[in-house]
Amino acid sequence: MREESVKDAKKLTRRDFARAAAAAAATATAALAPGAEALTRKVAGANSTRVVNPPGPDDAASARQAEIDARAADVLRRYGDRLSAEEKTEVRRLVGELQKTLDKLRSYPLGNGDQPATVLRVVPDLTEVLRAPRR
Amino acid sequence: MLPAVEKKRAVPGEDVLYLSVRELGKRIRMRQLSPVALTESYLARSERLNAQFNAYATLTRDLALEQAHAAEKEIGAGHYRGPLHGIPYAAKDLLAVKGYPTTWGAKPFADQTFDYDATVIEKLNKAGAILIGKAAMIELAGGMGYRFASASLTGPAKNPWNEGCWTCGSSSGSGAIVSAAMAAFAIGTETWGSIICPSAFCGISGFRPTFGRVSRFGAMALAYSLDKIGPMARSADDCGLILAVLAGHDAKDRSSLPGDEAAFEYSAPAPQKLKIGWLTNAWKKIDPDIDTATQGAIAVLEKQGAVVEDAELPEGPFDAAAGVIISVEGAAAFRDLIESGKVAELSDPLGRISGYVNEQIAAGDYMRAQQLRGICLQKMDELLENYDVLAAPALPVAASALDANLEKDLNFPDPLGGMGNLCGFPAISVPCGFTSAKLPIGILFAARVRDDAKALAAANLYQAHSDWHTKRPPIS
Repeated sequence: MREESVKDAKKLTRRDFARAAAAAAATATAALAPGAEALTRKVAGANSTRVVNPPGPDDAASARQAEIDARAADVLRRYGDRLSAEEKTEVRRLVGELQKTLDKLRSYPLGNGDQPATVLRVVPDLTEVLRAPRR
Repeated sequence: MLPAVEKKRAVPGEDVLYLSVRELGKRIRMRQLSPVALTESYLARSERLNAQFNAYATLTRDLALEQAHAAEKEIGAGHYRGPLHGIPYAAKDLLAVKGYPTTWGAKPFADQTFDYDATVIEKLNKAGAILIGKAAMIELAGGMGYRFASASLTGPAKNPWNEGCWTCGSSSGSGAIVSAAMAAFAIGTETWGSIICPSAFCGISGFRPTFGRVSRFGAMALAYSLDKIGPMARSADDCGLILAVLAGHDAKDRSSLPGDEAAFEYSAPAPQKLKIGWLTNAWKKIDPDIDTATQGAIAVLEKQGAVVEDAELPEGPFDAAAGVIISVEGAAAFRDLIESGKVAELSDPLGRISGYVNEQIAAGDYMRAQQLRGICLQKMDELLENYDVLAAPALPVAASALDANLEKDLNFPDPLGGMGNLCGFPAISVPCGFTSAKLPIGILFAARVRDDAKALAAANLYQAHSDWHTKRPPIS
């Protein structure tokens, strides 16, 4: 299953990748952004019989911005009292930069069978590991 | 017949200090060179030049002389341990050395000491190498981000080829030390670029081993799944000699490769016909001087029988994946520093706040990055099935100005560095020329995971037919 999905990823042309990138970015940000989730509920509550169109570019952009805002707000909530006005501005800029990286990351199509490269390797000489001084 | 004692104790001049580890070792073994005299000479030069280059965090004079006398006595008694016996070196200041400060280059850890040695220090002790100092470094190896070369407890490391330029980081002192012959070799570490970049900028040979080949026990952790330790020296051949000592399984490092995979035996390279993939998409834009020099290096290899074909790195957001993994693992590694607010003591304005932002990355994004890593491993392995090594300019630019804003002036996509570190494959940068501003240029050779010997073989072949690695900076 994993091989198959890796093969699928390999088959992607650059154009496929770019097309998938746009779609994945829209869905990924919408799904993850707490602000976006709240927005969806509000729309649904206001008119539950209304047909909601699939998310378009505007929805994706606003979900993305909501995600940026939520992150910046959380940093400022937790650490704002330590930061100068200049540093707070810088935090907002850095959160925006981070979002660009995450957009890239989320744009690549991944499947259920794409195993992460995190492996638990059982260390046979565990006793020695545990005896090692803690750093 | 052995030379007289007086000759052995003669103070080695600059020509000797610039010799390779192999040549120094040969002279020491033949008792033509005294480890004590050599150590004293490197110490004197380091004491004289350190203020000029900000290369050392600490000089370990007492320890060095103690080790040098022990080496001299042993060798005199006929017990020669191997090619590093009696050779003075510097270790990046993130490696624990019992009884000496290990500052991680950062003010919050300025008084930190450990009561044990890092595994690599232990191995070098056993090999009879002589530690003459802890090399300066970028604070926390850049783990909290940095914008300026001055992001270090010891100030900006200056490039021996041009003091107005930086050495690059984070093994910034290690680069300057080897380049200015303040030690015969140095130990650096790389999470992303920290061996390759200082080696290219400083005109030395620096090797990043396969992930897991060299134990990180006793080394500061920045990114648990990316950190690597490697040699920085005068030649690829020296890097091979040093790697053979550093490599090996260590149960105290959970990422250590199993015994037979971690071990590395090195002998003088035999000529071989290499198939080289010349990466055409490693950099978007390359300085014309660097393009010319690296193409020239490839032509040298072709003349020696290497087959060179154009190759392309796979497409995908793999450098973004590497960036996310470093950010998340760095935020975890330095959580106490971030949460306590002591991160504000870092010298770089970016370093003081980046950790707060990096904590915000969601677990889902981290796992996505790890999934991409799995795909990248597969794709790189397929690419490397076709070649012995991949080659490219180590960097598309030469050393940056000492006061440059690195976010603006040294900020470009680095898919090769991202993928190389994401996948843990070995790479080496060796000098291959100079820019019109007389700054060193490096060419990089990368190989498949565990094929460290092939990367070294390509660099060795090149250095056997070029002399850029023997050039010395104009130090007054």
